[in-house]
Amino acid sequence: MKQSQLGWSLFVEQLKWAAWFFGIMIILTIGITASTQWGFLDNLDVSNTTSNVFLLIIGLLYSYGFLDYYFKLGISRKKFFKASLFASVLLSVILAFAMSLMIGLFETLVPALGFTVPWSDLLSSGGVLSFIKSIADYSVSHFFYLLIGWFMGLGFYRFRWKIGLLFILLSFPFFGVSALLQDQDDIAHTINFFTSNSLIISMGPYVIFFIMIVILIICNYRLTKDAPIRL
Amino acid sequence: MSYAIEAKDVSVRYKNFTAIDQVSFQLESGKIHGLLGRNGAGKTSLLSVLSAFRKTDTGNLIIDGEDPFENPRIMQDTIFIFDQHKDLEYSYDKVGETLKEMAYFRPNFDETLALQLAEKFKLPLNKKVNQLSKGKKSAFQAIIGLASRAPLTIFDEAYLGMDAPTRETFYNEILNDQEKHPRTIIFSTHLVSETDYLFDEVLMIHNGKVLLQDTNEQVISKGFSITGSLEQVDDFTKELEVLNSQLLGGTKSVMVYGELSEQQKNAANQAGLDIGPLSLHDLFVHLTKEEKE
Repeated sequence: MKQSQLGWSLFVEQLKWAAWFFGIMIILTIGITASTQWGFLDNLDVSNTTSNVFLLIIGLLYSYGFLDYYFKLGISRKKFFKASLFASVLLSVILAFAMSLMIGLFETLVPALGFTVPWSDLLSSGGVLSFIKSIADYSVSHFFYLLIGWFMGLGFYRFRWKIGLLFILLSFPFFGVSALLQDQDDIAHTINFFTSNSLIISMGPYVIFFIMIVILIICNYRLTKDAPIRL
Repeated sequence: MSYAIEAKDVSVRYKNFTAIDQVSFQLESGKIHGLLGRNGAGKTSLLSVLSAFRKTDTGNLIIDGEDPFENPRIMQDTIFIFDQHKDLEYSYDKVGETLKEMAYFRPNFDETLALQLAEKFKLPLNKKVNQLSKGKKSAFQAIIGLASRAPLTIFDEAYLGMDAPTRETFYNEILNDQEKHPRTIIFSTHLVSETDYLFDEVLMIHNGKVLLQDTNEQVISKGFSITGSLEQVDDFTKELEVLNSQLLGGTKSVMVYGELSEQQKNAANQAGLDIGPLSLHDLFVHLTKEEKE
């Protein structure tokens, strides 16, 4: 099987799972909107947390599920790694687009039907640029979470549960930095402490994310390239 | 197409345990090699390095002139069939679809053969793989192993769960397809008595080391049973490698391993001793016997 075919095959498989996830997400959001309307819920915060968790789980399954499966079909670890990276980027972007589109549609359709949107920080209020920015932010965040899941899964797959737990501990700093970077006010305040340069303030979080992503890709490749496959 | 294998001082270790201890051997291409060994002898560890599931800890392994580890060509052309019942529990696709999909991964996969074999093994094509019984799952894997026609095909106790008639069909299909499409087959087993006729060559391992390697005929030709009176048998076998002996009254029967010259055979005849052949099963059982047993 060619590298590109493998990448697409992996992506299509993950897309099927993502379709289920997304379907459930839409139903939940409709339910939450209705519940808010009838006073059961309030102060809903719309974000990509759920899709981040979904991608974290996909990442966890990379070693136990996908690597194991494709290796036993004669695919080398390196070929699998490249295909996975390709599928991961694609899935992160597609899911980010789908999430932003869903939020955008809700913000348009819900008021049109006479209901109130159950969250205050409206994505549509910032126009197209805000929509594009949210796709970019969600994509980076999705990819990052998938890489962390992959990293933790590799720890368990290669070294069993005791050292695997250590990989969860190693992931905490990444989660922490990510949470800090995603809180716009917090990060602006922190960076302001070092500099008042607006370019650094706006681009700094992306650079830090990029560095963390590169570190995770290197670690995951190093752990995959000679991983013993379980019988 | 078939691949030759050469192993030089190959070792496999798991923490402090040495599963394979500096073994060296060559496997000729296009033949069926019986890999024999008792439980824990190191068969699966050896096969896992041959199929690039793990790296060798020491030594060199060459398949078709190249190191198989992370070698896309060799890995694509190597199929390792082992007990994957746990993995198959999560296989929700239908048998027919899964067999067809194999063609994407195995360049020599023969879909027609796969479907013919599915009929022979009475595999329901519309049933999901995870819903098959243990024996049917083994048959499903055996079909993939055979229809892939991989230049290096490895069966590691692939018959587990199959009933006797299904096993017989499996063995016959190996011979049939090997005749038409020769490849290198490694058949790992400890059910020696029912599979010995499959093997062109035999590689016997014990406690992580190679015990013997030769053609099936050569291995069998080195085993004899000698039966006669106690004194004469003891006298005749005093310089031979005795594997096992049984005493019934004044009659003794021994199993010996080694070549007997024509002179020795004549001497045995003159002494009234009966010389008979030993089966591969007998040789396997007694050559791998531990002292405590």
